[in-house]
Amino acid sequence: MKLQWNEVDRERVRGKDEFEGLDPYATWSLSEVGKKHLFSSDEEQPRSDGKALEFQVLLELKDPKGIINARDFAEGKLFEAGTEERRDWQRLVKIPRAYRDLPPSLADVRHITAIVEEEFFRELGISGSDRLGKALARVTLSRPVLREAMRLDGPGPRLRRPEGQPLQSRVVVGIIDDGIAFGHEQFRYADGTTRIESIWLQDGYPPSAIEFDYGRELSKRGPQGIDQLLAGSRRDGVVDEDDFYSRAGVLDFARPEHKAIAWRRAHGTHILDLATGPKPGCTPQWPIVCVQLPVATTADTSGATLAVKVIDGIWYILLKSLELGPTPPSVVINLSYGTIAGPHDGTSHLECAIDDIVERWERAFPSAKVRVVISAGNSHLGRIHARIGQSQFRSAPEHSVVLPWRILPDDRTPSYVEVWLPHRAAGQDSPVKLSVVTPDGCESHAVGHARIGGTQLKRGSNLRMGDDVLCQVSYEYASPPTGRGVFLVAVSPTAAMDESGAKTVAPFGIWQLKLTDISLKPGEHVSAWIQRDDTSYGFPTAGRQSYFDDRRYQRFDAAGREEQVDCGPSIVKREGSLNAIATGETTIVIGGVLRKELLPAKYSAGGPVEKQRDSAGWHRTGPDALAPSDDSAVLGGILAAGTRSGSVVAMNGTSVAAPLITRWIAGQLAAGHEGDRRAVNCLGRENRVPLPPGPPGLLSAERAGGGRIVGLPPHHPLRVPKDLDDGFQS
Amino acid sequence: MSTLSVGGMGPLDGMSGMDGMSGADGMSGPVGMARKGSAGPAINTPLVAEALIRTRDGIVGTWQSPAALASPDVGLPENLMRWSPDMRAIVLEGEMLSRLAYSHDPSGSVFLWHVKADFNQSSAAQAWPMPPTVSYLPLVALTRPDKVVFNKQVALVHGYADLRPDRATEILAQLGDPFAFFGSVANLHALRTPWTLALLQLALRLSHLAAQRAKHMLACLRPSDLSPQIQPIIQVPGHSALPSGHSTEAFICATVLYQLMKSCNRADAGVGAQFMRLAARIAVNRTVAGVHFPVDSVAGAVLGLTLGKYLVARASKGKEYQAWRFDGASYPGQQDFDWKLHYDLTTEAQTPIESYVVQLPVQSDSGLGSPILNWLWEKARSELGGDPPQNS
Repeated sequence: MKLQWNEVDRERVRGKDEFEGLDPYATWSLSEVGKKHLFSSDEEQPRSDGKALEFQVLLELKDPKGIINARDFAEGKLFEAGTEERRDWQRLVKIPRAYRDLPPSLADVRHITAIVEEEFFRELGISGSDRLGKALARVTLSRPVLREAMRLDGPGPRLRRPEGQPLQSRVVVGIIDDGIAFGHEQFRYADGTTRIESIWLQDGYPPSAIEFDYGRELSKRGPQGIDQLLAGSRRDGVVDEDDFYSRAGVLDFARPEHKAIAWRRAHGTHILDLATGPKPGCTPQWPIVCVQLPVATTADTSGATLAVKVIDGIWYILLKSLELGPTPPSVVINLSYGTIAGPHDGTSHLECAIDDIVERWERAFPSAKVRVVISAGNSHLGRIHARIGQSQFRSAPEHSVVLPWRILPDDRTPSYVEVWLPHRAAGQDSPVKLSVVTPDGCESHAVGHARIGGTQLKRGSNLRMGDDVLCQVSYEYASPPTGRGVFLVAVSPTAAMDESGAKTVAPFGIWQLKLTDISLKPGEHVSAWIQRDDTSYGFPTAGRQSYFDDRRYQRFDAAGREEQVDCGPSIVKREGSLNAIATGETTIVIGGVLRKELLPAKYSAGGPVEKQRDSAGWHRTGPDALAPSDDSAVLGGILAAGTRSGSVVAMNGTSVAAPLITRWIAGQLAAGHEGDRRAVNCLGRENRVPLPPGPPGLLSAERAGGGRIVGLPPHHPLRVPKDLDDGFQS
Repeated sequence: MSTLSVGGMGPLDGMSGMDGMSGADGMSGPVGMARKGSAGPAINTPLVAEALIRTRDGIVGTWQSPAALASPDVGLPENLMRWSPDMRAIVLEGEMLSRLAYSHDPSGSVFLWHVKADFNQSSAAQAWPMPPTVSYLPLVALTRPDKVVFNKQVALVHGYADLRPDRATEILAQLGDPFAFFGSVANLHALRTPWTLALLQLALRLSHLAAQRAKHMLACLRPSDLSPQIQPIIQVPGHSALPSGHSTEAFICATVLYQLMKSCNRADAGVGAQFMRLAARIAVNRTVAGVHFPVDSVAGAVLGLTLGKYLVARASKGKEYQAWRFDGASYPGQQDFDWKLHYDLTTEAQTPIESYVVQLPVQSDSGLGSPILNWLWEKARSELGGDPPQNS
């Protein structure tokens, strides 16, 4: 069979009148091939009960005060009472009780999640349904958790209110991660009871009566609580942890999924220990609230299901903190997760939602500060980013620049590239067009949104072999606050193991992305990122990370060392490889440094980030600071708890740098200090130990933020000197 | 290495070959049971033989008639002290096995019997004594599960495969005997605690013979016989699956070692718990590797725990033992292996479970104790610091 490019039928997927705020990935994700990959690990696909496919979405309400708030939106008050439209709406859209019953001071919350039937997306694009367009600014879609973890028996319980004695601590530590050993000795008080107030296992089953309608919650207290389970598993004074987890229902070997907690090393346990476990000279008493992401979310490193789960997780931690006492405590949340592709200007839906939640929470509860700490990402040398300036287009033949994208064989998940364009208003022409050439030379028509020589460019193109789609190129517009066009190139897996899946696979090798300047202005540039597509630690092989394979990119210096600073004429860059969910305004972003050599870990990603629309300066340069992620170039990783009490393992990556700062911030908040971005930046800058300057370029503000935070004692109160405040770029 | 293993067993079958006791691990040397490597200097070579001929010729001198020397008394266990460890091991092994008998029924059960033999007192003058009076007492019975159970169990083996990258080192290191692992918990050393290791070798040998015989009779398939997607990460052993030999070995070692240390006041319940956890981990690792169903470990645990107590009774002048039955026919197919269901740390006893692990009556035999097994037991106790036995 022959490979052939055809125009994408956008209307079939996005409806007649495109809803501007719909996820740029929707054209792919809602197509037949996209749905197949999004739901690939769902055993229930296709649905056996004949019901419509359900999606989980992150919604941004446009003007919660003026038009509609979350509760009214959920009730379908967009439509007249008693009409068929309203009944349809109530059938199509389920909004968790958590968002409908928020405290009054939070009633105008903008970012909420919902579970919707597939028809919802067509409703969005049907003209006449302008009410929806008026109510919603953005919709980001993902896959729901496994059906057995979903509550299907009506709405969840009302929000709980504080009970019992007031909380002693002024600060609560939250973690959103995978593989959290919630029975571990490191997370217990001296009396042997757990410090973990609750853990929400987002794909745990059977589901609990929880206000988010999915997953299982285990609380510290109560008959089936963690303390009871711990006591029940004690034998001769020692908790039998295999027994504990098995009774807690998280070690069921009849299930095929990855069981991080049965491994010696687990991401969430290591990180939570660094963030809040007892260390010599420091025994934190802060209560802990945990969110364990679904196995499928961690397995899917592209982050396609991350936004909804993280936002629900943040809300869960915050709402839980309210239950702990009459005075809302401060909360610091560690999120050592990351993706690569995105607008990188802080306007991705997840980043905006985090910023918005933090701001609203602090306004609603003046006693509480909220800090979210994120890792900077490990892709510095990944060759996953390219940047092409207008002048580079102008000096190229036909104003065309080719970006060579190498896709590996045996990649079992789709590969994605996002090419982000400069700011334009909605409906304006795309300043660049893109065509894609397969490894064996089959070129698509040019895709974009402009009229060239009397011909309108097509918005999308599918590469087909028979009925199978192997690649989709589309031009999408990310509505404000992003306000930029983006080309999305999706390539199907290059290996298929599942007999029910595609019989054909995409070819591996170099795919050429041919970008041509139409109307870029001087000084403007185009930025491309490959989406993350590797396999998480301990998980079965899934993705294989593709990269930009440019001849001019110099990987090694004359002595054979890996170059860490961009050099030469290549359009493929190290700088700007920052974690795509770590470019927001309020989040605290931490990269990695070698504790002995005092140099950035070679993988630790940095800025610059992209400028925001209508903004004169930058809202951040890169990470806020570096913290140890390896003991030395030879002794990789830093030591912290393994899954079983008493065990110690090494793990590395910016994931393990972030929790050191989470810990410091918790100490700051407990002492009544700010512990915000500015404080972390200052801590990096005015490190108490004088540090050697390091080779040129390695410790730029883009790579290292405020600087290297090393030699941090477990508890390190610091006052931010007034005179340093002005120098901070925020 | 354990040279007591019978021929034909490959290096990967867990019964022989790559043991944890040889080489530079501090566990090798004149261990009680080793047949090779314990003979001291290499004598039996042509060079040395030729040299010895010449040496004798050089110094032998005129023949002198030596004085008469009486042999040691007949039948004294202490005489074993004069033996080399390898030959001693054969005597001990023969004694241990001398009271075992097997039978099976075609419906799928294997029975292990203890042979109760009452020897009649004989005077020295008799050329051939009166034969003993023999009766057979139940020791342990295993009934195999049906195919529905194995079919459900294979999903568990698939689930455990997730842990392969985490457990591969242990799985490979546990291909041979488990002494490196028990030695690490109990601080055993070939030169410091040779008698304890000899006792454990004996226990291991008992488990091998009982488990292999049961495997042979029950003829149960391996997980990779049931599904082409199990793909074990080690050579699948060349014999049938249930009961798991590793589980039997590990639980007999845990029981014997704990009872021995406890008799010397060297172990409390916490030590016992650690031995049981270790035994269970070794058993589960075989499921992770893809060569055993969890139910194989269950049957192995019942067999190992029962035989462990039986061996301790025979070696410590016991007069009775507890008989047990594993009934695979009533095993719940989806049930995983959980050692805590089988052994109660408080009572230090095996526990009956539903209808698939059944406690049988206590069996009495005044001749259960064996003088030479007891001799080895006391040797092991003395090197662990136990009080000398009270003569009664």
